[in-house]
Amino acid sequence: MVKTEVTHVGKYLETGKISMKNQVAYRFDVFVRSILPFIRLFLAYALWKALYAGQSVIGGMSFEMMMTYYLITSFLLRLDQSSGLVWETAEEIREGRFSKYMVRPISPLGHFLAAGLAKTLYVLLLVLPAVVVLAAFMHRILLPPAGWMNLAGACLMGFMGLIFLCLLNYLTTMLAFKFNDITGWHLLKENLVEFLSGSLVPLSLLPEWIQEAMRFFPFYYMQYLPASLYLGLKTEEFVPGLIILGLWITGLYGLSVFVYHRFRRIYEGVGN
Amino acid sequence: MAIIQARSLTKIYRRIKKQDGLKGAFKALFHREVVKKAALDSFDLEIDEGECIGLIGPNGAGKTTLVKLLCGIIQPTSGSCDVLGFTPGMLKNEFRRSFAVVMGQKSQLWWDLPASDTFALNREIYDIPEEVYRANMDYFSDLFQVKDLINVPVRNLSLGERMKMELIAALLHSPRVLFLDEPTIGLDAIAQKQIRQFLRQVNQERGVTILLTSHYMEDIRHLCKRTVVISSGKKIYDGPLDMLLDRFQEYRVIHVTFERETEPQLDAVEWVEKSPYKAVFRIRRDLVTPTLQEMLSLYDVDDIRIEEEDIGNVIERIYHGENGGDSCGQVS
Repeated sequence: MVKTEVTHVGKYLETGKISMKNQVAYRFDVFVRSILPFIRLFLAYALWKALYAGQSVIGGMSFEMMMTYYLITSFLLRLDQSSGLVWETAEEIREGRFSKYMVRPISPLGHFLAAGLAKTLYVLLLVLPAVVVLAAFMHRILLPPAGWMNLAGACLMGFMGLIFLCLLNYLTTMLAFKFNDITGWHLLKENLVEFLSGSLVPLSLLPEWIQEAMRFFPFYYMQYLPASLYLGLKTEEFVPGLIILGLWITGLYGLSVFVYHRFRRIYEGVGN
Repeated sequence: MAIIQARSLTKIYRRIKKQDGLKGAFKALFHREVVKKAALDSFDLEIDEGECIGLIGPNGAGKTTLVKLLCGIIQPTSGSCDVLGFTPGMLKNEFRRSFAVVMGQKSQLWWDLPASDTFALNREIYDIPEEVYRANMDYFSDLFQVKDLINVPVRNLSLGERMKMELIAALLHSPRVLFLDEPTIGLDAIAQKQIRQFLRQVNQERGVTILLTSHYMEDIRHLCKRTVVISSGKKIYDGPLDMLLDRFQEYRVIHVTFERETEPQLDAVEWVEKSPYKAVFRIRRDLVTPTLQEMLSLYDVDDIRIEEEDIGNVIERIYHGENGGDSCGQVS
């Protein structure tokens, strides 16, 4: 039985707000996390520079294109903070602390999405200075978007990809009701997402038939297509991408709600 | 009229049993023995609006399981329950708005943030009108005298202060029913007393129906006129606490300290501890007065403390039908 889970927006906005406050509770943590994007940027630059030594094109992409592709995909991948929530929430289910979501008139899915997106917003704020530095001083290695429409399309696709990942992570978390320990499930999911989304290796480097098959899966549209759209490539795939990703999101939402209502019935809420 | 009803409520947990050792651990990958344990067995209960009920019993008796069933956290194996006209397990939003639960060892507060943030979140979750929220905040923070602590991160509060915040968070939406599972566990005597007074006031002034589980007799004595004793998932007593204690609390534990080294000799006592300046003994209740009189006349006593018998012993006695078998007429 699938029913609307998220109805009252105010409580989820407040959940997002409190999650964001929780992120900035420790000053040193905020400081370290705001430096990390710069370190990652430097390391990525050094790595790809070494790989391109003596070559101007790899897999049909110039160094600038590859750097831009890499930065966009890794940026989008890092924006997904809901995978961290998987551990927290699965632990709450294992230890019986999940009960607090069940006894209050709040949807666990809505709470999960709100907390996940709040964390994403926080990461976005942390990454913003690095993006500004990149745009101001390293514009030669980060190509500008092919056009404003390309940028908007990439952002929309990236956002939908985030929602999909949030739902996928929520679904993985719900497995803790049944399996208690979901480490194996989570690792499997993480590795698959990393490979299938093209954040490990650009999908254009894979055989043609694999690339064709990927078009029916959501992962293709989560990082690879937004990065391509930004660079002005594969623009004809924007509309089909929206439809396919939209269908996956709808299906996953229904499945997540169904699995929660089914599995919460075997929850024991251990401990006092 | 009863607002909480449980009829033949039964909850059976399935537990996996593993053999000892490394071999057992690997064997369990292929074959697992599942054992069933009834945490609650054909349990019947009715609670009227405005009542404050004490639920007592030893560890593993089924107290927390009953609370979880009535909150809808877990599902019954058989039987049924009804709280405020709702079936708890369905977790309807209207149902969840009408009750609150506080579990002594599980917090709803955000550890790194002040309690005020959790209160603000609950205001949205329960859709509490601003004026009701303000009035309740003033009422509860005055009652607990915690106005200065509301903006302090929860991690910096003492255990007692945290429990006060938990109770405020639970009561902000004016629930009709409050389930409390060991709310005073681990607290010092002063904090326990404050929480008892608070709950008493909430029950009497606001008419909130309370179901309280506790290991501390003082909690039950101070708050509840009616007590339900549960053991091995079954109800073994349901009635006034006074009658329960009169009938089944047969012994007292006496702590005596002496002004000088003493080797006390008393009849009809069971010594628990004896040292040069201190003696602890267990004695039948009807012998307390003559024994203490004798002790005061024979020895230089510095201080005396009389303790009630451990609740576990009392329950064990009821369960084994000592002191007149099924003498407790309220047992169902």
